[in-house]
Amino acid sequence: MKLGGYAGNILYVNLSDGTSRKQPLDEDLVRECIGGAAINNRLALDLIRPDVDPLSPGNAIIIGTGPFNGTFIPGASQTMSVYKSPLNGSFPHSNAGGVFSHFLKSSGYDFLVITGRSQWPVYLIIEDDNISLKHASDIWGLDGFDTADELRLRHSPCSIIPIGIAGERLSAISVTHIDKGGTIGSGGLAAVMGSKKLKAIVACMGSRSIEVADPKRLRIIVDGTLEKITGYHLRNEMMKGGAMTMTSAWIPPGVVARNSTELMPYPPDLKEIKAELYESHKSARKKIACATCPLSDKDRLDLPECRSSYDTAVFMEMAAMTYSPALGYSSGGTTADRYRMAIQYYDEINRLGLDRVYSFNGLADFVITLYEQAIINKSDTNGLELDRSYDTLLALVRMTATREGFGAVLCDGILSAAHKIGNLAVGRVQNVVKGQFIAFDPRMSGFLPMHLGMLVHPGRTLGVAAAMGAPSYSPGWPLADIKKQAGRCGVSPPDMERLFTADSFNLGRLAKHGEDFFGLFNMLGQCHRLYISRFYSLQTLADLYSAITGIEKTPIELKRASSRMWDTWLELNRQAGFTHRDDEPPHIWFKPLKSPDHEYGLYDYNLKKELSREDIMGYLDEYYSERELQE
Amino acid sequence: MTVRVAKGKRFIEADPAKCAGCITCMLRCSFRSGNKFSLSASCIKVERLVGRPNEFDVSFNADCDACLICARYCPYGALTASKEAVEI
Repeated sequence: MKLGGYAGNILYVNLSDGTSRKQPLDEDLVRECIGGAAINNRLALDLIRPDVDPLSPGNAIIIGTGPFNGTFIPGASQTMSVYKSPLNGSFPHSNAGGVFSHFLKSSGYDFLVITGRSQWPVYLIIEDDNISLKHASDIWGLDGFDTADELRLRHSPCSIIPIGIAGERLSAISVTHIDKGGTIGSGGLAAVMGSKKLKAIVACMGSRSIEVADPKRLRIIVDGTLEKITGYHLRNEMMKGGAMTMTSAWIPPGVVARNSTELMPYPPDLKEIKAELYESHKSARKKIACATCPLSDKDRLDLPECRSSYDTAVFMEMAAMTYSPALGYSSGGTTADRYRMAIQYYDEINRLGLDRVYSFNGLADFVITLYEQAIINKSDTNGLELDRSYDTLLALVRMTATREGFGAVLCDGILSAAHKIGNLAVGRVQNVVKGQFIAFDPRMSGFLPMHLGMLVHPGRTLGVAAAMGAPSYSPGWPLADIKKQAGRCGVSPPDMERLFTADSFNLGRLAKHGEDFFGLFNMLGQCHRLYISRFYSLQTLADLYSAITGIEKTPIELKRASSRMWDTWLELNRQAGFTHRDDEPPHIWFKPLKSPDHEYGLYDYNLKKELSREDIMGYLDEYYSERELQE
Repeated sequence: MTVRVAKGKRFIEADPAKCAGCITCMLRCSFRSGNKFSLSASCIKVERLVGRPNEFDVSFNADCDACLICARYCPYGALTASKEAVEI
């Protein structure tokens, strides 16, 4: 294949017999699907039986890149993955930064497909045509970060996707990190790797190059984009604070707890504490950037008397959790002490390899609430008293990751834990959609496009971040700004007329257009985080795509390709058993979330109208109608 | 601090403490010399370290002609044009 931007091959590795083969990437497939998540989906449709046991050799791990990876386009860092999830049997998408996509392509591969199961622990080394499996018995049992360090010492320069203990022990809520940074694999990718006895994937620096169809055109577009990024008014501050700089605009009123029935407020002096936390964070932080990112949102955190820690997003709200009474409450100590405790908690959970945000925090609250309600007691928890202390939180993390003691009940998420505990617990599961805990309760923020994405797509999906970008998770944007965002996402003037009224917008229909725009980032290999994706419009993406590949595609053609990607993904999950009927919003959303001085109901985006179940079903109908209409 | 001594009076000063590991320099270098991207063909190398004060190391190979393209595009100020050569 002579197209620019592509390495030109798919690498298939069969762990059962230790063989590998290289297959040329089909040009027709590329012209139709572009790359990344879209080709991942096609491969999954062909290679993974929808009824396969996720932890059996028949499941496949599909890792993909896009035509922007391997180039110097700012933010072209993403690696995309798909597999059948042991958490809920869906096909979740997951993507993350680091430099893996660049290193994989440097050996000549756009896609990597891993099937089968090794008889003993191995790690996979990819270096040009040298594909090998090495014994991993000596590193089996190491946490994810120590594994990455050990393999880097052996194989540098390279990029590494390791698994920690939770993956080895097949926890369905396990995740992993690329290069100790970007989190990848919500829904149990690490467990799928563990089931295959695959401790790590190591992409070494290869000798292949990525051609470009029109170098001059590419240089001009990229230089123009860089000029905008370097002139961004928050960039200097972001260099100091990373992701934390960008996540303080909206503060939720507290932490949803007690099985999603109560909102436990933050302390009244939260703003002052946050300011102190931010200073502690900047002092501890050494900036780390994904490939070609000029904004460095990843962190290495060096604290006195602590080992260096790494995180993809130490968000202020999450650091605040360690002094919220919901989880890990500590009444004593300074803000600096609390910051250190939060970082140690994140470090522990990251190293072990559990999904902190989208699974574990909700799971811990669920079982602590059951304990408070005397549905379980010490005889169920192997003697552990479940209170809302930091020590309990850490004990639960370790148990869950290792499956030891009460961890055998917890290790596969809320639904599984409830069924193991019994009917009383099953009846109390109430903020879970398609097997996935809802980490961001819409009663705190108003119903956002991302909540619609959570209902439609099983697992922590592209939809979380993709349905309309920033307005999706930042409530209350003025209508003019949402219109501007819609324009950037390629909503045409006639569609704009149709989707907006004088004082509102059609959330279900607009979410579809947001998905199509941000889905492109996952097809091209581009980061869709707010602070970098804000510099790209649909037109810019189309111009870059044409400059790199030599394939002239209009913005509308690109958007249609993305729409097909979403359709294929819906089809994959339909085959796995998820249909429109499973999009039901949880009953708890229509009950008040109580704080000491306020009750939060479910309201629309502008917090003007209280929503009923019928309203949500209406949003869903509009969403599906728009998908079919556009096709 | 590492300083690369190169042709004529052009020098590049590298400060690994400021490097964030984005490898933009490597991609720019290979693109400048061949209009294509190749990590292995780059004259500058950024390598991640383990258990060290700096997270990354920066080095140059013998083919580097100190064209300064890497310094021009380094987003983190880790590479700069230097007025004099100082071997360390």
